[in-house]
Amino acid sequence: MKAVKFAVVGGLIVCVCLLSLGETPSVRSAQQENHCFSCHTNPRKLIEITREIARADQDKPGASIQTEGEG
Amino acid sequence: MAPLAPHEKLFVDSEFAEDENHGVMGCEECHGGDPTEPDWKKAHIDVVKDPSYPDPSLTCGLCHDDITEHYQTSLHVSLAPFKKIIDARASDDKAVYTKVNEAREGHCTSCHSSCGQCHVSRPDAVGGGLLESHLFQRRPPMQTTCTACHGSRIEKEYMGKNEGIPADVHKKNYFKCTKCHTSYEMHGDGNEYANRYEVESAPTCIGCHEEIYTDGAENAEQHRQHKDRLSCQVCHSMPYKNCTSCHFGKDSHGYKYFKTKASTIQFKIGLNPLQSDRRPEQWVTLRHVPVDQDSFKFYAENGLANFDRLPTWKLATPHNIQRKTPQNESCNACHGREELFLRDEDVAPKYLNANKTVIVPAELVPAKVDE
Repeated sequence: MKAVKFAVVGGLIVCVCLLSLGETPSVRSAQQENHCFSCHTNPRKLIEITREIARADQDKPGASIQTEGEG
Repeated sequence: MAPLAPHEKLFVDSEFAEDENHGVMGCEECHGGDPTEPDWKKAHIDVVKDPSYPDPSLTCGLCHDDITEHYQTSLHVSLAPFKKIIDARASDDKAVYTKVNEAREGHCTSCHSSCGQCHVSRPDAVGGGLLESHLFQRRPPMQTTCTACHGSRIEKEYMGKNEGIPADVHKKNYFKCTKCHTSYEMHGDGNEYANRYEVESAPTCIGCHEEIYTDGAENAEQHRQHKDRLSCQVCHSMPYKNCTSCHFGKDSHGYKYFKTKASTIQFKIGLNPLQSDRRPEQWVTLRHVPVDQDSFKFYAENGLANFDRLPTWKLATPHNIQRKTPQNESCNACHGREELFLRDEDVAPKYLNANKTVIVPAELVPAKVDE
């Protein structure tokens, strides 16, 4: 019976170690959210951010109003 | 070209992740920045908007090195003819030349393109914005890349947007720009060409219409008589746009501006200023370009001190080709018609000296013939 208990406890310890230490840094990084992709594929977020930028730049004209004629 | 809303310029189609070549790369591999940072401002520190300019060797070039090898000699990237032409006209005074050169880089040469600004986004010069939401375009879409920049003259001519002048016959046959202007021409070939007419892979009419001199071809006799004496456009182009008097500077906010006078629609045949083995014709169509002796005045007084070294009426290949034009209706629709030729009276007095090599003297205007 003791041998069975040791085997179960030992197995659990091995499982915990595999789960917690098994990931390499690159695996962990890949599992992290890629914020570039999640934001740039989300129109709602892009609209919010571009409006925020527009509010910050509202006193700056986008281009010179002195331009006249065809380029 | 329909404008894009600010967020549309930046929107990436999630389908991009399924691009088996470009989609498997992390965004940061080309653009830099920090994809793990949730704060967008911090995430964008050191982000490179166009990773293919000015040097694509560590981005596009890692896979497409056969194409990027000659990138720096692509005229769309280098705009080398601008420098050569402005240098020729610029002052010999070193201090003045330095100012002219800086102004050229800030204004004229800022309208360059790059791998990305044809295949991924609209060119920066027209406000940028992703093409097809970052799905790479093997063949650049004509209206959001080519004619987005080449709009005032080429687009209006080719699409028939100049009042009363029909669209180019090639447009009517659904030709896109890339049908004639191939990637070989666009991507550079390692040669430092002085102008686009020298580019070896540039299109020629005869490249497709090789049969025009052969027995039995329509108008073979006319084509043979005029072969190598006048450019195809002299007979086959319609009146086209001419621009004048470009002046540029910076406003009180530091933004760049330019001003040009109203353009005119004219058709003028003149003497070929770039006669060569490749272009042996004596007679060509000439277009007035917007340069003016005072174009650089905002930056330097008399910056183009050698203005008269080059004509302001330049060799042109208008993109409004028709089989039948007013000047090819009959022999005397052209012969003896002085108004078709660039004469002294067509040239502003201050430009007369610059254009003396292309203006047609009265005695050279072909005389009427017996029809």
